[in-house]
Amino acid sequence: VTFRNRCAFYDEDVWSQLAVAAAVVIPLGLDLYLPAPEENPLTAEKIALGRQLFFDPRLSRDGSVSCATCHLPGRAFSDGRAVATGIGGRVGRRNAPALVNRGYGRAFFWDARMTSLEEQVLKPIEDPNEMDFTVAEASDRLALSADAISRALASYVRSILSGNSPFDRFIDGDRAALSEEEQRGLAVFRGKGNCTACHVGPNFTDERTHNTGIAWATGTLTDAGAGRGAFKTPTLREISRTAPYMHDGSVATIEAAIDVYDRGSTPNPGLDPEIRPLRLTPDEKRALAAFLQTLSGEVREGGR
Amino acid sequence: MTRMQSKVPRALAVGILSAVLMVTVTAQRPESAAALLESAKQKEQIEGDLPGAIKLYQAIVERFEKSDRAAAATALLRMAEAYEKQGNVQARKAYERLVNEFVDQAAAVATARSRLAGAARPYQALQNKRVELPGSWQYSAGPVSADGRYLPFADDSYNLAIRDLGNGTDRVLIRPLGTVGSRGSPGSMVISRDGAQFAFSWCHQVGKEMSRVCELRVASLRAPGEVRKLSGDAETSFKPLDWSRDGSEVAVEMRQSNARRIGFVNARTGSVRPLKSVEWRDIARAFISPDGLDLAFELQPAETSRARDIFVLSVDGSRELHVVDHVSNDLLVGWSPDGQQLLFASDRRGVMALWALPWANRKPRGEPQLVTSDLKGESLGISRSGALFTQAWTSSRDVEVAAIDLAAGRQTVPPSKVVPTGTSMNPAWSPDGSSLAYTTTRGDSQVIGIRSMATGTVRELTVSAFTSMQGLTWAPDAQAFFVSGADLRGRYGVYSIDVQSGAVAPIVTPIDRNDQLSYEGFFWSPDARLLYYHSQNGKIHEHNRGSGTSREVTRGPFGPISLSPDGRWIATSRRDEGATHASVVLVSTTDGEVRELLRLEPGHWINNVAMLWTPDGQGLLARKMLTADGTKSELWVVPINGTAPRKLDFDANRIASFAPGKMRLHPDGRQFAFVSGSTTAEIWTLEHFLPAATEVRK
Repeated sequence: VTFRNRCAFYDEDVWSQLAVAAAVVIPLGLDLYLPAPEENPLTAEKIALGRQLFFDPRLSRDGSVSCATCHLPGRAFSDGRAVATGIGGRVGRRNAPALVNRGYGRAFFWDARMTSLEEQVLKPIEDPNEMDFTVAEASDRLALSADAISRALASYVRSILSGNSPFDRFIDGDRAALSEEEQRGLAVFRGKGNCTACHVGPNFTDERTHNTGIAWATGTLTDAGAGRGAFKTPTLREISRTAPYMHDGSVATIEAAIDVYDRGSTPNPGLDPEIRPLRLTPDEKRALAAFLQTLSGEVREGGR
Repeated sequence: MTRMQSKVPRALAVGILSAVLMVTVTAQRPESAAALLESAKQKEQIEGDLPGAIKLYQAIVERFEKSDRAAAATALLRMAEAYEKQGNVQARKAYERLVNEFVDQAAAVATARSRLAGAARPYQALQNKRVELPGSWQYSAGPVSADGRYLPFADDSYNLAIRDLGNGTDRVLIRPLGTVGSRGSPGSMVISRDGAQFAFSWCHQVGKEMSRVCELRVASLRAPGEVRKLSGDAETSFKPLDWSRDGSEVAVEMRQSNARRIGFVNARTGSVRPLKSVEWRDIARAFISPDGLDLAFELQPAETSRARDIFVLSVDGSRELHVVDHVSNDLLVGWSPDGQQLLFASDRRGVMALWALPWANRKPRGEPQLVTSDLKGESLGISRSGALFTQAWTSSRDVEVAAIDLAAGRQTVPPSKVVPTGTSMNPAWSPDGSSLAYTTTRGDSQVIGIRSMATGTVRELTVSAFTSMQGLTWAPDAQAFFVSGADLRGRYGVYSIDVQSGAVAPIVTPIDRNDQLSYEGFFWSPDARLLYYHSQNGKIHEHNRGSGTSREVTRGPFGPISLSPDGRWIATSRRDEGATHASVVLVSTTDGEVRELLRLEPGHWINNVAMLWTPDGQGLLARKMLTADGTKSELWVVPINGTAPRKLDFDANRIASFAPGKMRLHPDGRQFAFVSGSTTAEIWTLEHFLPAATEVRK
């Protein structure tokens, strides 16, 4: 057994062959099986068209806003604002989520109201606070059918992948990829921090909704989400580039997010039973924050 | 009867009469077909009264044959299914009547036709044959080889071995090192299609956290000593599932902490292709299709039930199909050798039966068809000749109670079974000693039984919140049980179960699978504030119920623990790696100091269960094992003041050697509960169940 075999699980040659076959390169750490509907298989052409559409402001009524306005590639396809801003400076209700690894998703939007990317990608076009257009109008303007827009945008979003992070390299056998402190943080993440109750799997999300208390303030529900203040678990991939956090962007930093969960968030009638005071020590909090930073790696998009 | 009536108060008698009249009136009133169907379904599904349900269905058919054809057809279909569950030939007649007389009810007729088509297959004469097993057989260690010649198994020394079904001989392939699980022990194995090599998991403890991880290794079947490590380290454990057709890759389940993936490992380089994440779910079995393009596996799809479904994932990761999606429990059996059927076991008709899903062009082509209701156990694969191998378990485990006199060193009343169920384990005395709880199984359900020692009555609490449950222990206030286990989301930890309602609440979660707790349960400090428990990797934990915090008391090569009545000492056994002697030690709960109380003779060891403190806290009841296979043992009382241990006049060989929660002492110290009996694996083959089993050309 060679050192390489023990320390490097992944075979680059195999990876490359599969990448060509699948029209996208899957970075280290993610599943090779990237689900796509039978009626919308991934092709390089659709990804390329979807990429054009993603950056095209003509999808909005006044031609001022594209998908990329709120989903900036440099911020792992989030926008750095608490809540999204649409045409004419209209302010939305919720934070623009990072779009990495959504191809593995099973539920879309913070309230998980959509179950396919093909459906999801059309909704911001019609949202009055975002693009304030209609799909039919956009279709006419671009001379593309609604189906073509939907399938192309969904294909492009599927191609946005984040992996090959220090964490992935650590799991792959590179024991120097995480510092001692980051490894302690990983242990907190898996153990005392109870983070894996929701942030599971290679994409660090269970794709389910939970009432984590964020939508509750002094006994009042500020946003029902999927019901009683439940929101979908976001991925933690690229978390260092996607502040502020939570569905309303109300938490500015990773450290503040850890504090929220450490104190058991905001008690309310439907609080998820997994949310309870964690009693983390300052050292454990620092280690956990350090570990979370290691989930930022390489973001690929457009099949490249 | 007359005397009894005379004792009924007048008002009550009037009430009863009114109720009887109401029932009579209700019974005479015409009811809708839907309501009657509902009653019949209730009888069939809830009460399990098939003959009663058949009568009701028959009545509905006769009554509504003209006025409500849809309801009559539904009733006739259900009647046929009920007959089928009974194995009654009337099923066929009922289906035929549906086809002939209800042509206007297309859906029901289509189902009936499909059932008749299934029934027409030449499956009726199928007979399972039992495979002769060696005396050392413990359990199957993997699927049968493709040629049907070799069956992998673990023997009674935890060696990985194979039985040659051709000549009835056995061969040990891999032996464990050191104490089981410390330096290494083999897990499951799969044999390559050409029979030249085998892949197996090799499990051992690594790192300062003493995490139990399983590497993937391969070796030649001809020269099993030449082992190659393929993959696996402190972060990732592997379980082999199947070999690719060309022997270049091994399909595996990979586990990182509590998360799992299904993937492939290159059999030459060890490089890994992780195909799909399955979160907490375990992959019990998976088989590659005969054309080598697809991997079928079973998985628990929901968080609300332990029931599984069947999925097929292409080996290049390009697509996945949820091919058996049913509310029933569906377990993978394997592919027919010609690849034209995907076989699975399902309890959709009330019993676990063998079903075949027609398969063509890498997709299902039609509805599953019943092959036989006589399926024994779970699949160990299908050989190239079309023989299905299964493993079934029979259990004679039961909780027994004996009266003992610790001072005199003898039993005073011989042991007797408390509630013979054949599967009862984990005896636990209530804090006041008035009840004895235990775990048992009823079909697929896990049940906690609570037996009143005064009246003998038993109350049962069905627990459906766990995929596994161990270490049954009463809370000090007797209002709850504490157990270790994994919930339906696979979250492993310590949970409480309300004694009255059965409601489950997490106490310490999550616990990493690498720190799996021993089966012996929990021990409370005298003030009921602190909870002590032990991980199989030798860590001793303390959980503060008030603050919700936990700490590690100490770690080492410790066996299961037991807390002294004053809460100051933990009694446990210790066996250092390489040491010839095992010893009984006391560990201080305050500073972790370890004191050796007794050193055993070479070759002797303490059974892997908790030693029991005598109620006065002056001694320990320990089971000393005299042989490695656990067949000979003795019960000893070990005084903690250093005086000589005393052997108890009790037949300790009666105590089960490899069962969880074996021994418990009544709070008064005069009754002793333990688990007797054994669990035995049986291997069966079923041949000629495929109408046209043909070997796929290589």
